[in-house]
Amino acid sequence: MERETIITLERMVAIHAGKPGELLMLAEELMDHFGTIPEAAPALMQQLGLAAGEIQSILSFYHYPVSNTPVRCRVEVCGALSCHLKNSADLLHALCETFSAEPGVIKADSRLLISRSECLSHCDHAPTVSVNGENCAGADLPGLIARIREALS
Amino acid sequence: MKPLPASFLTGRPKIVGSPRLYDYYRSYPFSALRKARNMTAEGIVAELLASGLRGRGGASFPVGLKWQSVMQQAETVRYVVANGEEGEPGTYKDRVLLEQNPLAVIEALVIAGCTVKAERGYIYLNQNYRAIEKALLQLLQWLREEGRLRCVEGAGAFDIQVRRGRQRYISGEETALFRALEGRRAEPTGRPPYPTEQGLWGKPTVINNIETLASVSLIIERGDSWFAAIGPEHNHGPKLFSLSGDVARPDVIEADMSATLADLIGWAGGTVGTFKGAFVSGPSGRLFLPRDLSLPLTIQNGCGNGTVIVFNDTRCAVDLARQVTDFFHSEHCGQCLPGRESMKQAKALMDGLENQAALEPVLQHYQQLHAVLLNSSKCGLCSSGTGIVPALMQAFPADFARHLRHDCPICRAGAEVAA
Repeated sequence: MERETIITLERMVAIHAGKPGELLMLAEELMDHFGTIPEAAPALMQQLGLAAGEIQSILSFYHYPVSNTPVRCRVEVCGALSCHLKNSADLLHALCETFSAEPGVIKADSRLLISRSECLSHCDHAPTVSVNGENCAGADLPGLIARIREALS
Repeated sequence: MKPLPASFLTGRPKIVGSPRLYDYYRSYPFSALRKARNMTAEGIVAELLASGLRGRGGASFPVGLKWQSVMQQAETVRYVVANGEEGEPGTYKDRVLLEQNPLAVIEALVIAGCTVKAERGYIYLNQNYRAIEKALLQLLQWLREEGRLRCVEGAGAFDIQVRRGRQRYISGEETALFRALEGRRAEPTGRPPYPTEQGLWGKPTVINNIETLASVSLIIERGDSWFAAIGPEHNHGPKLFSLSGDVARPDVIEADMSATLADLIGWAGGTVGTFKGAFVSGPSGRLFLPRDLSLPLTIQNGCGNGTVIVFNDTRCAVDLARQVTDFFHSEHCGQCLPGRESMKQAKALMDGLENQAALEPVLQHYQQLHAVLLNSSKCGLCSSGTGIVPALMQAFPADFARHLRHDCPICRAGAEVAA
């Protein structure tokens, strides 16, 4: 892990030191910044006043990805019922095929993560896809692919 | 087709993400808040009780009773919380409401805070509502700067914080949401004590759904009689319905609860294809069949949170049952043994359906799991998730029979595309 990343991480954690109730806020800030929870983060998070086991328990409960591979583009394809009825499984397959990606696995070369998600609560635009936290209608596949390429560039 | 009723909660242009947010803030009348300033706390609760407003998140608990219960607690540190988690598949009405009229929710939360003498309010949002979070933070900043986050001029500090949660369906359950706000695992706790007695950080807490709070603003502004005059008996006021699935124009429909399922589908442009069924109140709700199209979506008929997912006759009920089972299997919290074990067995039943000789034992087993959950699980989420699959088995036995014969052309075609 680069020295600069460690410094950034330490600075972000220090803001919440002594505030155990702010673990989820910190985790979301790290997700926004790094796209994942860096592997060094859980140890640093003990500064909040939580035990290592508590931190692991909370991060795993909310399915936070802990990885040193930063994600440049996170694509989530909603697989909940309304989107399932609009063929979201086919869409996930098409996106993975286009970018030679495996669902739920970070592509180390392009820093792309395509995964299936539970309900994104945009069922009026099903099938819904979230690209780096922004929701877009999955019905326009070429537009979606262009958007992902732009995020990766 | 009946004409679409007038809108009171929605029907405005989307303000979140638009450059007109400040204009919206400047022109918002705060009528309910101004009126509440001249009312006693008891008067506000009396108005809510008289209006007949029941919670819009699914449980339909009388809102006035909830507020009254918090007021009666001896503990003086109290909180008010707006529940905008909205993780149930097919549910997006609160998002649409917040995108159009976020100040109605803030206004009601301020009124709630003043009524129960809370020191702080929280708005808990679905993880994907980033744009709404940004708009709310901006609006709250303007309100703070102008000293408007209080009912009475010169009253003590009351503030509202916004939290966007991590996506877990279970977080929408009231007690689980408190744990998420406290930065812990969103695991429900048993009742009693109820949230009104020991909620957030163990203090008396009013927790209401986003639509419920927007309805509070309407009641205070227009009066309880106006609200009570809308809709059938015991089902007062306008209600939001989230339509999705096999309908021509998926959208949030605002109607009163005399609207039938057929009315709602008609207002959403009609079924695409031939109507086969609908999940009302989402996958944790009730299965409506063609014979139920003329039923009004009242609380008694299971309208719940107002979610309506329509499916047509090209859909296989087994595929739907597997979707529902997989969802609850992956989203249950795993905290209690009945929930953990029953969801594991439910998934095994659906995954191994093709290995069964007959449907009846599968149905009986699934019903037993549902009964176990109803009687012994720690919260209501797992049991609400296992109710609809037996209903699908009973309503569409032919679909299940095809799977027992390894002969479902619909699911085979889907599997081929996915492969």
